[in-house]
Amino acid sequence: MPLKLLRETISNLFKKPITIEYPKVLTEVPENYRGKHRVNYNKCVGCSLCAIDCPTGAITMKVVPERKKRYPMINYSKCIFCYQCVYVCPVKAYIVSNDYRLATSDKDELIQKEIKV
Amino acid sequence: MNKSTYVEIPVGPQHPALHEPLLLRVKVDGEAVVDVQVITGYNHRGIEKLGERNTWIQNAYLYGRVCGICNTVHAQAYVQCVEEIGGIQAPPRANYLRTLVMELERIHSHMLITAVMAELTGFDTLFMLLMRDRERIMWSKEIVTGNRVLADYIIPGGVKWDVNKDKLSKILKVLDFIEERMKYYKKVIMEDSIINKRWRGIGIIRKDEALEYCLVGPTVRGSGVKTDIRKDDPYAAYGELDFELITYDEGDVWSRMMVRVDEIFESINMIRQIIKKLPDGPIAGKALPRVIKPGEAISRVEAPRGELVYHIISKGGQRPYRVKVRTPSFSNILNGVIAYRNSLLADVPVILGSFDPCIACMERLIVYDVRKNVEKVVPIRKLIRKRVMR
Repeated sequence: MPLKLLRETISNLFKKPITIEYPKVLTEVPENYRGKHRVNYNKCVGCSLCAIDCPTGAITMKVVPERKKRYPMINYSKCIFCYQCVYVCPVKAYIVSNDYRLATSDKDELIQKEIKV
Repeated sequence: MNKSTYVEIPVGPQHPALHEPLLLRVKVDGEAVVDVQVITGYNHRGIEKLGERNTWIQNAYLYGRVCGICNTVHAQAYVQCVEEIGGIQAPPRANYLRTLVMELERIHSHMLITAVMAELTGFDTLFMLLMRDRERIMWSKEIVTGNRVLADYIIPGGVKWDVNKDKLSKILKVLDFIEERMKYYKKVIMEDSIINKRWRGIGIIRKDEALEYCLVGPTVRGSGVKTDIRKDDPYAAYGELDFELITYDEGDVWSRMMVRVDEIFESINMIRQIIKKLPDGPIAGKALPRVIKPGEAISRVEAPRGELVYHIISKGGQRPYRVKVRTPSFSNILNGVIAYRNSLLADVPVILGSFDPCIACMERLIVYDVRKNVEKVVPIRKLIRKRVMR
């Protein structure tokens, strides 16, 4: 038995490494991976369900005076990407993506400040 | 020899062999271990108190985060309680999908602890190979739920996302690969001389002791006790699946690990059955239950580490009144001190590893005084210090 394991170890020396060189090569993710999501404000009806259900309180509702409605704003530094907001939305107003590269040098970039309707 | 001449060696809380903060005060006489005292309390997060402030829906995500490795079983146990109090029934397809994710989680949890145990033993090659193959299971969990560790999949009334044939065939391919690899690793664990020397006959817990000290999960099945919540009290879709209950009689580190290795094969079997039998229909109820009527419920599930108990009290409204969690690691780590008797100092990390310790799981406690009718929070550290363990 030890020799068989040794054989596997030696054969691994000549194989391509399993480690992914991340910044150069991107990690493959399945299509339903829960990445960065945003709100489609043209579809949103301002029902606040996502803000009520958000487990971390990452979604706050803000009044937009021109439209006289409240719209959700996401704080990505608080978000845990559970997609409860995506699941619960009655009009499917959330646009989902596979983007997992959220690292930034400025924390303010992760906090949504204005609503572009 | 006078008792005061024993040397006390702290193992942890920051120790290269233990990946989570836990202090073992090991009293040694030369190399031989005389006494072990477990001291915890480095990882308390106040999750139970936070649960009283959150809504029923938010808590499904919060309790998934009690433990990272076994997050779907925590969510399942919580959701079972909520469904029982609220009189909600999950559709059969949701039950099957829940079982599918929980079994995938069991496979990767058991592969992880086998790899970590190989590393603690000094067998790094096996560690690397197992961790490499485990990634495929994580990947198949990601296909179903959308994330490789934290599934966030189970909600009161059902599950969140559906699967299609394409996804299921990908999972079946991964299972074929894993089964073949695990057969090979099982052979290594059974025959390798390093593992046989470090695991066999060490940390023995006899059957009667295992029952007396209320150990749970693979730890107690490694001592020959036939107990498994999936069989004893079937939940989700386990009642309709055919699987064996695995026990080993030796009661040592090796038999505890072999229970886990064999359970991986059973889990692979179960997932194949689930994919075959998966019924059609809806995956969740029409609306999420936001208000639950008053009531009380207890639910048990078999986590990868053993029996997990949730006790929820509802007084109506949007929030639970109390959520009590009893994790398997709690009884395994604290009562497992009997396994350290007559062992050597070098075996202490191996014995602790064989319980599959999950420190993040177990750090919570409230003492309820029945006579005075008062509730007070006592740090675990204080309680453990009162115990004298021999």
